[in-house]
Amino acid sequence: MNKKYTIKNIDCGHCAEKIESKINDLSSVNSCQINFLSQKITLDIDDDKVESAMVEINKIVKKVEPDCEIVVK
Amino acid sequence: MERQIKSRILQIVVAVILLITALVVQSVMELNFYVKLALFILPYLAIGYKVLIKAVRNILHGQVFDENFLMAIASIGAMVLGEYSEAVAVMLFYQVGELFEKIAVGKSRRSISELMDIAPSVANRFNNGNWVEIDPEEVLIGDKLLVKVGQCIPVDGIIQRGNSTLDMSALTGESLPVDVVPNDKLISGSINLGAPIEMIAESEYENSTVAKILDLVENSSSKKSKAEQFIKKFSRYYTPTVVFLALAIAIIPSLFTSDWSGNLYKAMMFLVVSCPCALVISVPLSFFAGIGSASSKGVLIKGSNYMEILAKANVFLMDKTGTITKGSFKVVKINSKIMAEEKFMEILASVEQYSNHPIAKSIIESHKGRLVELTCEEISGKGMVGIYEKVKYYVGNAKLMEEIHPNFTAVETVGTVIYLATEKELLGEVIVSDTVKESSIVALDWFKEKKYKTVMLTGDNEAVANAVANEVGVAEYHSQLLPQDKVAYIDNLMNSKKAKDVIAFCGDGINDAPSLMRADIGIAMGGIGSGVAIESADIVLMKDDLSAIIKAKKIANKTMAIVKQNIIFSLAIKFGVLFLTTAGLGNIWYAIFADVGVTIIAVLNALRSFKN
Repeated sequence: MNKKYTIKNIDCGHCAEKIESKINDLSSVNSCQINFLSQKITLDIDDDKVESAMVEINKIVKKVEPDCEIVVK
Repeated sequence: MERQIKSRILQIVVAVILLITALVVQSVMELNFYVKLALFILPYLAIGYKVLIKAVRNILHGQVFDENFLMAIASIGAMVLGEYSEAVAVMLFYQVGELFEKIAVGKSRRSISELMDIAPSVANRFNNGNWVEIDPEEVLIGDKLLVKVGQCIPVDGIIQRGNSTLDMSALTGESLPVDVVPNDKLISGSINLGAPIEMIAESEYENSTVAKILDLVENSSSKKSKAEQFIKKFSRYYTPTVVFLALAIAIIPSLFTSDWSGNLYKAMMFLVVSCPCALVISVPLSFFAGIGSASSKGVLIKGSNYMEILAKANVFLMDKTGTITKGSFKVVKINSKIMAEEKFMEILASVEQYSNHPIAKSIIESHKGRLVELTCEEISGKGMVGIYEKVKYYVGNAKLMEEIHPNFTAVETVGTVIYLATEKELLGEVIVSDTVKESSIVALDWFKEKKYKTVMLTGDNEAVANAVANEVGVAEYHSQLLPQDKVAYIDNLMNSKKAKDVIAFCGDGINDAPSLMRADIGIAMGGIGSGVAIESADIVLMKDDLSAIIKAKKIANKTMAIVKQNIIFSLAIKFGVLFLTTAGLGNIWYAIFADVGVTIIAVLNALRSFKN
């Protein structure tokens, strides 16, 4: 699955990079890209792992930057 | 964002007032230790409480080299040393820096969303006798759509009813409106200015030009430039290194001398300088701004790495037909020997209207007067014969003329010559040829001025290639090349080039896909309406105009200059301050400048990339 979501309140480029590299370290995620300026996160996750991966991803986001939030439309 | 900025400004103002009060009170009366501490703790907490909370929280999460933590340690260190006003200053200026950063990011995001504003929001579909508003993503191929005045063309398609003018400036950077009539192609993302039009959808939204452009601009940041990769690597090592140096400077000399407070002060300054924010923010921001401003000029750059390569490009290979020339034939010379030119053209065009040859079309186009209906016949491979006012006229090439007039001599020229003759005499000829775009001359003049090497590659014959090369001023040309010969030529050049040479190939993107891919950087023209071009090239010029490369190159050069300035300036100041500190010459104000001051200056510099 290749999905693009909005990532809200991401205020520093440094944090975006940290979140991106931590999500990329997850074994369930094939690739993750965060575009800090357009506030978009692009995720490539295998279909059967989406749910569990999203839980992990949200945890990482909250941990690095508590104000941040991934908005799933 | 706005609210956050306001509350931050308020916080800064309150802290400044409290700090000034504390400084004034301190200067007019002797204070005991506790009163003094209390006086300065107030502004310190007012400005820094959030940073302190975040620092503690992040440590609990196992994140040590976090900016909040570094600022907290540096300011608490200052407190311990009794440097109260410095402690407040560290926090205060850190917050001022953050505020500036927020404002800059907000401003860039707004500029970017303006660029992204070409996305159509609505489509009107004809459904059971009514127009129904739907989401552009729901449009299917073949749907009949209504585009009202002021609305955006939702998907690519073709006009069915209505004449109008379109504003295509968001796509091509060309501000002149374009007239459209039924059967004309419509490009999604253009805005309908004139009158309501009915159109038939020829693509779904996700395959339409506008969706492709948006996708490209949004994803361009995923292809990182060398400068960005350098910053990423650098920041990974820089912060921990500086923090360990700070520790070392606090501990090691203290073992030999008793000046531990002096060493602690030095260590504190190290911590203040340890954040690479200035670079981490400003470098990607410059690229994004550069790519954004290029796209508003009708030049799509697919990644910041290509921006970097374009800035270095100094050899430009160009295709001829469709790139330097218009790729369509036009009458360039009329030579009527006996009759008036108007009459001559009337006969010629009237005969040619019965031919399907592209050259015949160009003759009819250049004839402004009336066309007469005739009885005509085709003479295969040679031309036409027609009867006009009871006289037999022959229209065709030199071969045909040789048959009718045995002592005929052909006109020597570049281009195709079409003769008109009766059985008795030769009446004259027109010369039809592909014409050079004015913009190509502008572009090549500029290349020459910049001393870039230019080479024209063409499949056409030597005579045509030579004439075009002379007209536009290309230094070198190679004619009679098949597409694979072009690739071989580029291959050869790529293998034999000097290390500093960077080769760009500009073509129309349809026949030249392998060449576009083989060169260091491929520039395709006429991205409008051609999905192939958008996919095969690294840079797409939305308009069929070589001079757009000048704009793109200028933007790339400026962006790279800004990036270099920021990297050199930030590193020089940071290392300079670290050096002065180690030598015992620095003070906390130098360190604050090296952190916050440098970030602000670098971000302001990066924002210049938007103004092109």
